[in-house]
Amino acid sequence: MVTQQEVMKALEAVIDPELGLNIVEMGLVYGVKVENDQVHVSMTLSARACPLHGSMLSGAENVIKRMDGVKAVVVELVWDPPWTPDMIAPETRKRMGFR
Amino acid sequence: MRLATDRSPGLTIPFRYLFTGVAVLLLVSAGIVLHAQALTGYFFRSPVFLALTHLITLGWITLTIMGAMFQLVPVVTEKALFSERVARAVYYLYLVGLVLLVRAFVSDTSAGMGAGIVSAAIVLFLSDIAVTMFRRAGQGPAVTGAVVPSGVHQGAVSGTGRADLAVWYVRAAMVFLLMTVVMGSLAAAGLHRHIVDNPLALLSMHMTIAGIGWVCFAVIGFSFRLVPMFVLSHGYDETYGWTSFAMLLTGLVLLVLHFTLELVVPGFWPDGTSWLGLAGAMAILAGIVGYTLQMRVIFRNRVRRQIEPALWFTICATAYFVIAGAALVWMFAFRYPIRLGSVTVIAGLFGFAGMYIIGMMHKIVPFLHWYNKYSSGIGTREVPMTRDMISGPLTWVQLFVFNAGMVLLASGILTGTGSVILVSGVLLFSGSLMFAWNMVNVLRT
Repeated sequence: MVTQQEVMKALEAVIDPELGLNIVEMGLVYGVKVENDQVHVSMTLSARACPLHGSMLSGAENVIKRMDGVKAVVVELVWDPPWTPDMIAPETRKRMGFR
Repeated sequence: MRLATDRSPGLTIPFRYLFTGVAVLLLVSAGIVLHAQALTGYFFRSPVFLALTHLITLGWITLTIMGAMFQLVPVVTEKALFSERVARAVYYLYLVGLVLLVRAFVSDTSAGMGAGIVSAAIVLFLSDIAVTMFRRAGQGPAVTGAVVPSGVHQGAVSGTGRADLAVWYVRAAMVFLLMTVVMGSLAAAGLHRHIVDNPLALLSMHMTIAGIGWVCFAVIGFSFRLVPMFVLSHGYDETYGWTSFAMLLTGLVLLVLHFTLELVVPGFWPDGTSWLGLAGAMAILAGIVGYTLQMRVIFRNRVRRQIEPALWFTICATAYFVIAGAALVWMFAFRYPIRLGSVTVIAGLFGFAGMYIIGMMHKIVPFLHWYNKYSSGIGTREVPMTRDMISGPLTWVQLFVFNAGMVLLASGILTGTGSVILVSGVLLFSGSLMFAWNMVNVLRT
């Protein structure tokens, strides 16, 4: 059975091509639940109208599906709480020179 | 789980509009080189001026905005485009109409056929977008109770029960586009069939509604949506943006009233001065200042500290917008000096709308191409970053070349110096070539 940490690690492969940041360090992943061979991810997007975000969700789904021991993946899109740049990991903000 | 992006049209639809726009820009800048001398005189009825302004407004700016709207309206509204077939048909119909229209201007023959076809294409375009915007909602992803305080931007939001500034601008722009078509038809009929005493008032109304109503409102709407997205700006106050909307609308109404009085009561403004026109121009300038302040708020609130060259285009565009607004006030305050009118048009169309479009194309085209080519591989294979798909140094060079070209073009027209206009044309053509090169290279990655 995979662990929450392993799922989070796998999700780091999903990178926003505009910012060059992965969805975990951007703070887009709100929660990961693992029950037996099923993984449930709740995540948000930085803006509702961003044309790239379809690929972020399918990317998250794809990387988890490829993990050993995972049979089913549900990636749930949520808008509450709304994402803000404050959710970007502090070390990432520093590395990227963000305010 | 369904996303708005699943509902956006195939890439070929926006790309055919956007890339044809790039080709028309090349044509326009080549036209400035070839006809530099013709641009030194009094223009408004000159074949070259009519052909070039319509190529800029209809062929470059409107075509690009159309392509962007076919792509972004389904994404923003989270509804599928009503008809992709209509979007494809509009493209061909519009191009045929545009070619006939420009040919008629150049040969100084009747533009009725071309204008009619362009008008029909625009009505079809507006219908497709309007039906998409106003069709029944409920197909988008669930909104899980996001609470957004009024007047504060929380990213690009729809469905939060809050008025969306960008959407209001785009809706208004669509209404003005329809009015532009109507006024253009009336002005053409007025000029050729002499149905009114003062067809130039109709022509002025057509130009005002087209330039300020359609082009400026559409560009502002897009900038309020796209710029915050690219600089990562959230949670800022939108008061300046709403004030700008109200002032631009007020200014436009006052200017239309001014021209209506000129049309209905010939000689209403006997000595050429009009307090109504001046008030309208001042309201427009106030709206432009409001827009500038809103952009300042967006940039000051940004998380990404570094400003990319593409975003510098939008900053320069804002500066040209202020110049255009100031020139408009000057025009009404000092009895329409005609060359200043041309500078207003250049600063507003080429400077504001054009620079904004060029800047945003450097972001949107790599974005869309990436989505089409690489999105399925995200997380499973190495994919390029969008910034790797465009040449940053070339974009910087373009920024300087376009700015130099723009300033020289305005100076050349203001002073009536053909050689300066020629140099400006060469610079603008060089910038356009670099721009086209950068865009085509995106497709090669």
